[in-house]
Amino acid sequence: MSDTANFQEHIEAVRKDFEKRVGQTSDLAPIQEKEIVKEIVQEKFSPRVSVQSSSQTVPQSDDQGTGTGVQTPPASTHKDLEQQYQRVVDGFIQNALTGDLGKVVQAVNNSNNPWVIDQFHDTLVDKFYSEIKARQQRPA
Amino acid sequence: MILAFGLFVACIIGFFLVRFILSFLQEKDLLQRSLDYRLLSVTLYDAPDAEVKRDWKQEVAVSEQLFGVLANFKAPVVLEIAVPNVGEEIHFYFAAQASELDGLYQQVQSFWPHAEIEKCDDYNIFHPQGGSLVGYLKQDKENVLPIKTYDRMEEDALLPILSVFSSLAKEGDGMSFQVVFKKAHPSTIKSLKRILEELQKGGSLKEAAEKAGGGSVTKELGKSFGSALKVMTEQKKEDETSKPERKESDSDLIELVNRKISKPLLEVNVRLVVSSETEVRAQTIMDQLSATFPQFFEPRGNALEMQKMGGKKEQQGFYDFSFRYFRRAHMLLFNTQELSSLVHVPTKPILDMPKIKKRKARSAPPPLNLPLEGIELGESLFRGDKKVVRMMEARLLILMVTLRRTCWGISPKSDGMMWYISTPLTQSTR
Repeated sequence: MSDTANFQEHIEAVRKDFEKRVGQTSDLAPIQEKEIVKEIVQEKFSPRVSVQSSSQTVPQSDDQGTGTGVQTPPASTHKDLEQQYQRVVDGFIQNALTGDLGKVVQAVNNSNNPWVIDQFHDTLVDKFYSEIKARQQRPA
Repeated sequence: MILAFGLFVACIIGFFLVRFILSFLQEKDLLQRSLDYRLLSVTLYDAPDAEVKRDWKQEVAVSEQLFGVLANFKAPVVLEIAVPNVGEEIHFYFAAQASELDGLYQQVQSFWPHAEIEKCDDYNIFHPQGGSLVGYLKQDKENVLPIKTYDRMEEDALLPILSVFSSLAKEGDGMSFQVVFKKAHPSTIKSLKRILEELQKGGSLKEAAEKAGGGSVTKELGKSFGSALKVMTEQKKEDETSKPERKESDSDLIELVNRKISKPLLEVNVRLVVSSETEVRAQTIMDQLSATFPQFFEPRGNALEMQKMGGKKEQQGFYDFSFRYFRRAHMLLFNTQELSSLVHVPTKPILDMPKIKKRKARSAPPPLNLPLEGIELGESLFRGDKKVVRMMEARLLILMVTLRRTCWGISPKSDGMMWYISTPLTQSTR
């Protein structure tokens, strides 16, 4: 709330200054009004607040407040299964990074598990293929 | 004699050795190319009914046009409709070689300017321990005959297929409809044209195919003719008694072949993959999917049927699906109209279906002079270009005071990040 009050104080200050400068003139074009306000704001608030302002940290801490206190829910059976098989995939990926890709792909295919085949392909393409390709292109 | 026998055996061994080496090199090349594929997710804007100016057939025609353009890519292009194993939204994806991805992006964007097209990570439709099935589509008769196309249909044929997708459970069920296509080989096109010429001279389809024969493609055509020729021969016998009837049937045939070759021809693989917690459930889903293909039956023309894979071939099928391989053994010959009848980018009736991934708002480019500093309001994503949107505090003050005479007010929330306008906007703030 203090931020809101502070903000409204700033607005009030700008408004008063604006009224003072404009005075009795009622036929100012919006663009002229805008220029006057710009001038006031620059005078009052420069140097400008950086990107990492304190106001930004507020929602982050709010989010974290709710997030850190709550324990992560126990993983579902499906998720457990996926994690279990992900370890198999990680093993294959490790072999692909260090050994012959063709042989590893053959081994993956022989695993007889479509989830493992698909996950291996996805992980390889999404995360490691550029690395493997670069390694293959490097002179021995 | 012994020497001749030895030479013969050596020749056979040599033949198989060369074949094995060639196949090994081919597979290696296929693997390298397949790992170079990248995925694009395409999400269409679901425009209100009042904004929709085209009917569904006109919308499918746009996909047909797109396929014609994509067929000119060097490597096969992939179109996938999928529901991952976790989640129930129906996604539309395109995939192409990394070097052709920008071209694919631009083409799709040019046909659907309001679509959101994003590079995305790959998805997994399989249940880690459940039952999975794979099948591919095959043409019932010789591939020179067309299937029923959208211009002869009352309803969008993709709707019943997508209904099966929408019946999947949120967790545990997954399904994908994968189409890999490329431009048909020039010799295939030549061969079909020769068949048409022979048919116009008055021969039967069998005779036309024989006369058009010669190249490897004709051999392939010949293979597919096998089953259909039986039907044709039987029909010929029936027709022999009355010649005028035979002539009439030939003109039908000419019209069908003509229709087939009047559009760009494509070599296509269509794979259907289903996964669920149990094999029984996977089979049920697969059966539901198979039941949707009779709608492509063209009287005197072609039909589609699903061939389920089993044993070692099934394993190969899963592998081919994951690595997005194009296999000549499962090749269909479609023209762009046939392909777009089977699968296409969502039309309005499809976007009206539940569970289809869609956008409720049109995208617009962010202003060019976005501030580089200030309070972060969010992100703007326009045609793949992600930009952080910030607003300078001073500018907010300017905005408010300048417009005070029209009773505008802006108040910050206590967190200082979210801003709202307390009275409705009545004029531009610029």
